[in-house]
Amino acid sequence: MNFQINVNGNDYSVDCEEKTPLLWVLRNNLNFTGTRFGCGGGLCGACTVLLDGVPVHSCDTPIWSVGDKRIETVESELNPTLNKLKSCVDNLQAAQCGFCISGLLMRATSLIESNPTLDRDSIAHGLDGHLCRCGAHNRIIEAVSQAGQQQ
Amino acid sequence: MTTPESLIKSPKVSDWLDFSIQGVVGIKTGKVEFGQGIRTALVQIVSEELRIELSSCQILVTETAISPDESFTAGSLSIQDSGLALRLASATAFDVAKDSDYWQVHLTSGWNINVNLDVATKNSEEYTIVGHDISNLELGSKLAGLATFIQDQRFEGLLFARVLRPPVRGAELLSIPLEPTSPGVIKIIRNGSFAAVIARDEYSAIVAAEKLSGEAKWTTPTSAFNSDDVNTFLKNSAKDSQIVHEIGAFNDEAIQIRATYSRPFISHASIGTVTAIAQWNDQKLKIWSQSQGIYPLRSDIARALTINESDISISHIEGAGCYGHNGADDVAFDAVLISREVPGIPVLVTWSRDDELSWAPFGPAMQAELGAQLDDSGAIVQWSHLVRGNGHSSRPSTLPTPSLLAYSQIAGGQAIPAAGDPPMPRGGGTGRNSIPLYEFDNAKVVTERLTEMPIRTSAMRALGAHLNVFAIESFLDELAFTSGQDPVEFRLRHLSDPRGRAVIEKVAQISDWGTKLKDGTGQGIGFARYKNKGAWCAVVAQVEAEVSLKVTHLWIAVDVGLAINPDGVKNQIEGGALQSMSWTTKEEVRIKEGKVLTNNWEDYPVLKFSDVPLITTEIISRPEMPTLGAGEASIGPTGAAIANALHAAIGIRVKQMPLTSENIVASME
Repeated sequence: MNFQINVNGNDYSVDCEEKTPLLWVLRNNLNFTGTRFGCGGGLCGACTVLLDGVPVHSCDTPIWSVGDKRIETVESELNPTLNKLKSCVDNLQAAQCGFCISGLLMRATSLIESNPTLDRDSIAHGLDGHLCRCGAHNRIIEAVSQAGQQQ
Repeated sequence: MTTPESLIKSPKVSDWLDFSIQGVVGIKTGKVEFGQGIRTALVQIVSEELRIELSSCQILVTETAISPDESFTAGSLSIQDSGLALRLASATAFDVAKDSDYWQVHLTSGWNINVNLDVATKNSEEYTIVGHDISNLELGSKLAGLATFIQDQRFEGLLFARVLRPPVRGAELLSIPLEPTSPGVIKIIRNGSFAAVIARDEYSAIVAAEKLSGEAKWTTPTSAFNSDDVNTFLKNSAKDSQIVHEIGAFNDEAIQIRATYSRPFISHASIGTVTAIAQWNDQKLKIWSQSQGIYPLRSDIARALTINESDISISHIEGAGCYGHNGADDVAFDAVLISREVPGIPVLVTWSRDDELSWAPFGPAMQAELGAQLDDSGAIVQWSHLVRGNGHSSRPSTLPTPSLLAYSQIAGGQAIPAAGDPPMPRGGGTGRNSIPLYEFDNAKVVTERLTEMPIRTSAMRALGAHLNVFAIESFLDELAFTSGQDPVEFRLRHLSDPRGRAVIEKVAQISDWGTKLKDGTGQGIGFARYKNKGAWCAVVAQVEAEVSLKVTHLWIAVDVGLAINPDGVKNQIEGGALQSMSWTTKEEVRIKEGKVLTNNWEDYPVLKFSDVPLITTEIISRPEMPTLGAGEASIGPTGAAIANALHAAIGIRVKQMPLTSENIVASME
């Protein structure tokens, strides 16, 4: 089937089965490989993207359900909150291997947009659906807090 | 100076530095990146010694065609090995170039000169780049979402494949439909009990593999392993026993107090699943891999296929964080077998989450039996330590036959031999950190490595040091408690090593050790010098344990000698502490009748953001001392500190990891 979708402000036309997860449309059809496969079951957060600003697991979001919602991925350069957050993560060196960071950036962008003055505990709980194996958690929390303060 | 290991095989300046592009220094290393920041640290060293801007340094891809063979990136040795080789090569280049410049010399000699082992290197007081915080060179492109990982590569014509693994260990493939019926599928292949599906895109491969796994028929193996029986299994299996330390007049009959500590099998549980790409052109094989050791991987693939190593080239591309011998090498061999069926075309193979948690080698389950006698003054006069478990290394090229998973499944392949251990002078495996750094007059340490391996094990961050330090430091606490001594003072009275004492004293100071805490809250300490020859690290944990265990703060003092990149050291030390906390408090691989039950994130939970404590880290700066690796130093001390804090909080000593509510309750009985 053919789907018209909008990713990071640009329109794309893709041919795929209607149940194809958004993750694989992004990675295979459109080469947006910054959104990563971690588990395929919505349990690790690595594949998180924003749909009209709302974080979803792209690995269990079928393409038919996306409709005309705006898709934002880690590659986006248009979202000022995301841009601020990236520079805070960079300044604090708040990632090690960086495999989980794409999904975390998207989740944290929506956290900051809903409330830029969250305390440490609230940020941590807000990020709980995301796994990081390298142990960069505290720096990531601090980066989210700093980016919020700059909002 | 004796020749550093890395310079034995690669003695020339040109083995390490490439001046073929005017104004640019190409840096060659056999050590690979997996998030630990090694490439950044190596560039700092070269930039410093060559007196060249960081921006003029370009670290090259590690590949068999051009890179020095430095075996594995493991054991916290990258700065000690590759860093030293690059420092000496750079200092030699600086010394030789003098009035000319590096690129002029390249035109005349090609830098085909030996690295001078006695060359003068910069004094630490002169450093402007080494010893300073430099941002990780690769982080920027990761934050931009660029295709930095092996999973993200999209070579021209690339096909995608998924492998079908047996439903339980030991099952053999009876039948599988070979006619492609799913959309996008190019080919289904089978070789013995190894089967895979090749498709045009990754999602088609996933869908087809799921369908095929429902259609494949497997044998039911007769013997099957249950993790519930692990402690009996460890005790009763055939073993290779070694006395690794004996001092004074050790007398087992004098031992008054004994305790047994253990940990279950643990999983690497990287957030990304292992991936590789392979392509055959005529008889030549090209591989792109996230392996921690591209040369040993090449040699095992050559052994497995009886082809020449010279016909195989491997380039490293980073995968997700990697903390030891995971499935990275296995998936490379999967890709080799699969791409052989579509000559000339590159094939990318990624494991599923289920396969990642079921089929990668595990960190071995272990048991340590400790014993001691105290004299009237409360000093330890007899000490015994016996540690057992499967070996900690079945890495490629280290065993009598190839240790690649698919080699045990293809027709004519062989079972993977039982894992071995590095010898004790190189840090040991089962015995890593089993020899106490404390001074006891009479002591004996024995290791028992199992020679049968129903569940495949291999290297995982810190190897045996996780359990051995947990055991030693828990037992010391127990002895201090029963004899009414302060745990910090008790350690110091048995330790003369000045750098060890310094980290213990520092961590006690920054954690306000000894302050009265409210009920249900406690502090505990753990200490080790990694491998007894690496970095010194002491950790104090503070926990609350009213309902369940909650770690609220970790204080860490560490001495790595000269810290090349202090912020990078902090990142590694704190990351290691959190990974150890996750293993120690949450993780346990469960296996029933040969099937891994913990094959998803719900059944194998790891540390969550809301579990993470505050961390305060202090690096004891010793710029005049040689650099020691930071990646594994905090693993042992953190686990022990948490167990000791739990005891301080509620008076219960949990000797069986993980420190879950279930094991805490079981320890009350």
